[in-house]
Amino acid sequence: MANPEIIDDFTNNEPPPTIPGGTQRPSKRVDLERFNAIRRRQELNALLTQRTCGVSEAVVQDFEPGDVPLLLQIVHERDPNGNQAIRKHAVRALGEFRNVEVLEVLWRISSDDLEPEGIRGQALLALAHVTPRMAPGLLQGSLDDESPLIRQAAVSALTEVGGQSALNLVTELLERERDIGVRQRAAMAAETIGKPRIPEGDL
Amino acid sequence: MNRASKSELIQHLRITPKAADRVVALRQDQRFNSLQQLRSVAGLQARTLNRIKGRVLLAGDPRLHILDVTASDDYIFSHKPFALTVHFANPADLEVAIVSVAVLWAGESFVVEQELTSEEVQQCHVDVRFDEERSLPVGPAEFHVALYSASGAQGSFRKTFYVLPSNPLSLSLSPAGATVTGTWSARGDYQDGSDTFLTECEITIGNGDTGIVSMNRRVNWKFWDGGVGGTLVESGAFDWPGSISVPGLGTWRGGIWFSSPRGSGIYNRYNGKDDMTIEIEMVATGGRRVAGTITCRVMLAYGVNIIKVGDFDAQEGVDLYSAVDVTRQIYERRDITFRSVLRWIIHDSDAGSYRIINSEAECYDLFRDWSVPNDYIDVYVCQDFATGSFDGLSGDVPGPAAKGGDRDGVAVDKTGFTDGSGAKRLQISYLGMLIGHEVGHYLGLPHINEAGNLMLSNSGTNDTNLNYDQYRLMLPHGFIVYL
Repeated sequence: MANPEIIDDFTNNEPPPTIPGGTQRPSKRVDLERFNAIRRRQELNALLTQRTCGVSEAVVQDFEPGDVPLLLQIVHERDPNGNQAIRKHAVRALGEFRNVEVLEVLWRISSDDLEPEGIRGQALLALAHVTPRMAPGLLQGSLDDESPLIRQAAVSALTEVGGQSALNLVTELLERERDIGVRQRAAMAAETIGKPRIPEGDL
Repeated sequence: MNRASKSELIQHLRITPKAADRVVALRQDQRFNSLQQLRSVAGLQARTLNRIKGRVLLAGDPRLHILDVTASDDYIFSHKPFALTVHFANPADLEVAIVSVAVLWAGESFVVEQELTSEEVQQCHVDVRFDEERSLPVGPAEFHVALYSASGAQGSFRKTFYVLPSNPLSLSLSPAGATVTGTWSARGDYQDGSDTFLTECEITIGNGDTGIVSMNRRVNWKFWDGGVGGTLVESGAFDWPGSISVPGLGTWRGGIWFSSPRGSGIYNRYNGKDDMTIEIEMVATGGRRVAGTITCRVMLAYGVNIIKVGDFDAQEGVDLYSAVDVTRQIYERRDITFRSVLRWIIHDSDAGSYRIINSEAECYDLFRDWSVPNDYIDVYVCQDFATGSFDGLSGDVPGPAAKGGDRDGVAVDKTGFTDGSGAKRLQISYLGMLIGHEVGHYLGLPHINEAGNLMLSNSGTNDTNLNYDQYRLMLPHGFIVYL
């Protein structure tokens, strides 16, 4: 290394290399008027990654009930060439819709050990939002999952749900849990879980 | 797995009759809740198990699969129309409707979309045509292809091609050696032992004619400050050691290097962190003159501590460092590279609840509790971000140039997925972009609203550009040095 000093006087006065034909090429788009699902899919792709960086301001992501089939489609696409972050955020977005099909899909994902833990954990959180009343019963099994990351995510989901049932499950977990990360999260949960936090609603 | 008959198991899972018998026997004792239960089936090798996982995962998969993207005429030539052939599989017989290709090249990215004909859908391939107006110059071009069904299903693929020169006789310069910079600049590489700057570059002469072209051996060189025609820094000439013949419809390549001692004009410019333009001129035996230019400069660098938060699978570890390579490439395209990548881990037993980040505050706690005491940027790669919406966070914009406190790092979600064989993987391109984005904040870059830019608030895999103003903005950061 020549000189590890702070650079504050760098000079760059070379003209940029010229590109024959200029630096712009016109895009050629298909009019998506006839392809509503594709248009909405492209909008959802953008919407789901609207705030992927925590430095930006929080934004309200408006999903419509009609988006559920497309969100489910995105969740079903386990394309290694696709954007996994979009899929994960689609799982999260499904938590806004209280219907049985969504519940089934989230339940299947959360208990599928072929899914990455990040997606399963997100499904547990979303599941808590879809059905806060049933959530403690549904999450109970995940508290005994082989993966400590899933147990930790289940504790977070129970914290979101709140209420006495959630508190009981967390307290019981504390008595048997050996993983330090899960224990820490459960201990925090035991202190903070109070009244139910997610408004009840029917499926 | 719980309902299929023996013959269906053999047909769909492609297993032996004996193995099918064992699967049936196993499920009589215990219903299948997980494919992991197959591990107890005798005679199923790991490879077979992985194949079964893949087939079960794909059963009823509504996806479109893009299998490959090729140049329809084998090559892409500069400033000539071309076409890409997109080969796909459509197991669910979806109504494939539109193909969309985003082009990342030396200029601003653009998109070409096209509807598919019923014949193309039936044949499972489509030619995407790029006319004269959308032809490309010599150099690398990356194509991000998306295929959509009318119902909104999407398949994705990416492929890089090198656009070849198509003009009759041309000379171009490119970086050479291990010191390539990404804006296609040659790099002034300081040599500690000899107190010199070494500049390497490669000459390519392209011949678009069918006949062989012979070149004179004389090579004229000039170093300019402020571009060709600006201030001449140094100039000279030398004779190439052998004869030069450029084959018809082919290229000739040769490497050259300049060693500039202390006190020389080139050394002084590099030492003053100033960049220059190299001009090379050669003449064909018939008298045709060809010349090319390239910018040369010293390279900026920063170091990263890649810190795994919690234990990673072996393949995830490999993917993580591939993602770090993507980050390095993103910055090298703007002439900033890594001093070094140092690898660290906070094991499960120590990481505690930091494996899953639940809030910004928890992220800051992680930065406060853990730190590497050096002048590299701490990059924490967590198992999961369960924050609600974001996948990464920088302690501050810019981050501090000294360690200590709760803002001296960046953290990202490892972005895991399971591949078709059931292996845990990390999405290399997205994670590489994500690390690059958060490091950009640490080096002082705010969000920007510029298509394709790395610092979009919602940047995705394709958003990897850094502009010149951003390059300038990062320079004063205390963790940036020049190599």
